[in-house]
Amino acid sequence: MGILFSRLFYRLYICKRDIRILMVGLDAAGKTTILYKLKLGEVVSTLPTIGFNVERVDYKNISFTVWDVGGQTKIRSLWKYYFQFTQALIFVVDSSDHERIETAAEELHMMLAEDEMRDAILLVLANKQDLPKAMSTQELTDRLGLHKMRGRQWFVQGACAVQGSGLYEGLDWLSDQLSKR
Amino acid sequence: MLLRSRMQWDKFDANLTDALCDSELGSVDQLQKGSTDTLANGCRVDADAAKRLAKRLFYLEGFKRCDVARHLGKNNEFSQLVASEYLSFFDFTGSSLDRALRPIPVAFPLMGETQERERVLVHFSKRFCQCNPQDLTSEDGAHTLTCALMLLNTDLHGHVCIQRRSLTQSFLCSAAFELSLYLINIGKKMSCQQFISNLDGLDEGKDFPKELLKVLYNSIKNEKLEWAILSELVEEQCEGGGKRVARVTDGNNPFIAIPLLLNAATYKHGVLTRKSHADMDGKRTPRGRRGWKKFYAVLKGMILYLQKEDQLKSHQNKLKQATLELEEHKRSPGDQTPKSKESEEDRIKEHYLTYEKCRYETYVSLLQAKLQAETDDLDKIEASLFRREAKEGHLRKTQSSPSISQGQGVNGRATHKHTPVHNS
Repeated sequence: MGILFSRLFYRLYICKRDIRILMVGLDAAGKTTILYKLKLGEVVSTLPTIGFNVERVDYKNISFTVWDVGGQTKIRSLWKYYFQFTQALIFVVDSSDHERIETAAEELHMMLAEDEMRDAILLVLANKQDLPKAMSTQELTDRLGLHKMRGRQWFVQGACAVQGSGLYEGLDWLSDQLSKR
Repeated sequence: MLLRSRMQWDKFDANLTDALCDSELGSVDQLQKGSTDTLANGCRVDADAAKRLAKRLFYLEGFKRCDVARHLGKNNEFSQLVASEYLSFFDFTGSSLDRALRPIPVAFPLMGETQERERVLVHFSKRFCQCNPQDLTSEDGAHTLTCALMLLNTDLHGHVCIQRRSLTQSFLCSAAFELSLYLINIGKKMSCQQFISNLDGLDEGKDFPKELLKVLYNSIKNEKLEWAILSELVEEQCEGGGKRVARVTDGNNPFIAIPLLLNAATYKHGVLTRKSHADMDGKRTPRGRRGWKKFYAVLKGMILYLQKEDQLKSHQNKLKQATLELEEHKRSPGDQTPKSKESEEDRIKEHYLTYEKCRYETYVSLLQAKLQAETDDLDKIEASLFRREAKEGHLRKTQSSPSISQGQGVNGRATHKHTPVHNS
């Protein structure tokens, strides 16, 4: 009984709590701002991570491990190893960047085409909604070709990282979906 | 800070003022040199200015180590020039890649997003290939390997850094005591085999020599990359009279945050009776148990700190519990085949329990050391801790000295014995 209980406890606490999320997006989409907005509760510090950036965000009993996946395409393949444990992908897009929306769409589909990502759910954060010429979430859905995707859960959330709006709504969706699994 | 650097400038020759690059304006030089010169021979001036700046960055003339990366990693031509000039101060001839890489983060901490870090590393790889033309790896290959090593370092040793930070942090802000310690990769560190297969075909379509990868893996595994002295960064943050060093939140809403001021005035202190609504772990106290309790309280700046008395006892209990659970877990039969999912889970659970035990051990010994030292002074606490350890005749790995001495400088003195509570 004791073992059974502790296993149950462990499932609830460890399996569900340690969730690996990849956050990607073109440069200047607002990834860093989002990350730090979410991490506001912790010491504001510039202590660098040794190597590359890994950050932890705790929200609603879920501990998100966010890897900052950056750099040129050349080193992109190095991240593959980490994709295999990824349950969710947050794709950050600058809603006001009309010129690069196609590039962003390409990038997104390339990412999702990775074999390791086939089970990952997708949250698109349509950032910079406060800017005057920002595309609506509807328009972004079309231009990112989300309707064409088969067999993947996705959600587009309008956000403004600088003000912090939309971020928690997005994470709520993620944690809802993930806890249903 | 800017002001301070400016003052340092004045110590240098007047003709050095042309390199007013401490501000974000990477190439102000040209403008100050006089416009005709720039127009006539823009490239040369640029190169000269880059050379000068690189030299001063290397010898830290008027710069700090943590300023360096900022000047090398920008995505513009001038910055690239400075970076390649800077790297030319290093000679990697005859070194293996890992040995060549080690002095880099010691010379200056890589900062910022992965993208920015990578931009700096590109120059390292270039320089490495320049120094070792006989090496078979191409520049791209060397760069991929360099990044792979950085990644490996984060993977194998990264949690130590995070652990340290949160350990110090949680010791300082006891409100977050229970919440903020997790391993980044629970039981999942990259193995040598995984390291090798992750690099399959990445040397421009070919595989890297396996032997080389093995050597590199073991080098990083056995000796992690050393980073430029963190204390300098801490110092940096302290500048400006300790403005906004840390923030306290109530855990529910991260947007309501109160900055912790180091030099905040203490308005009042004394014994305070307070009804307890929340337990130490931040959970709500069950209705039946919400009694009035006496606390020693200090009102400092915007925050009321309540001192905990039963903290030690509570952690001792948790330690006992974790030890028991671990023993029970070890006793429970492991009859599954070694590769099954169950046994993997068992292994992870054991890892988790061992870790929990270790964590509470650390808390208890830190608290005991603090009580024994009867002081807020972290240096004294640390000294007392080491006396105890020397007596006990062993050193635990999780509490190597830097975990206490590094982060502490910033916010330790103000907060480490109290529980922050919001005045709402």
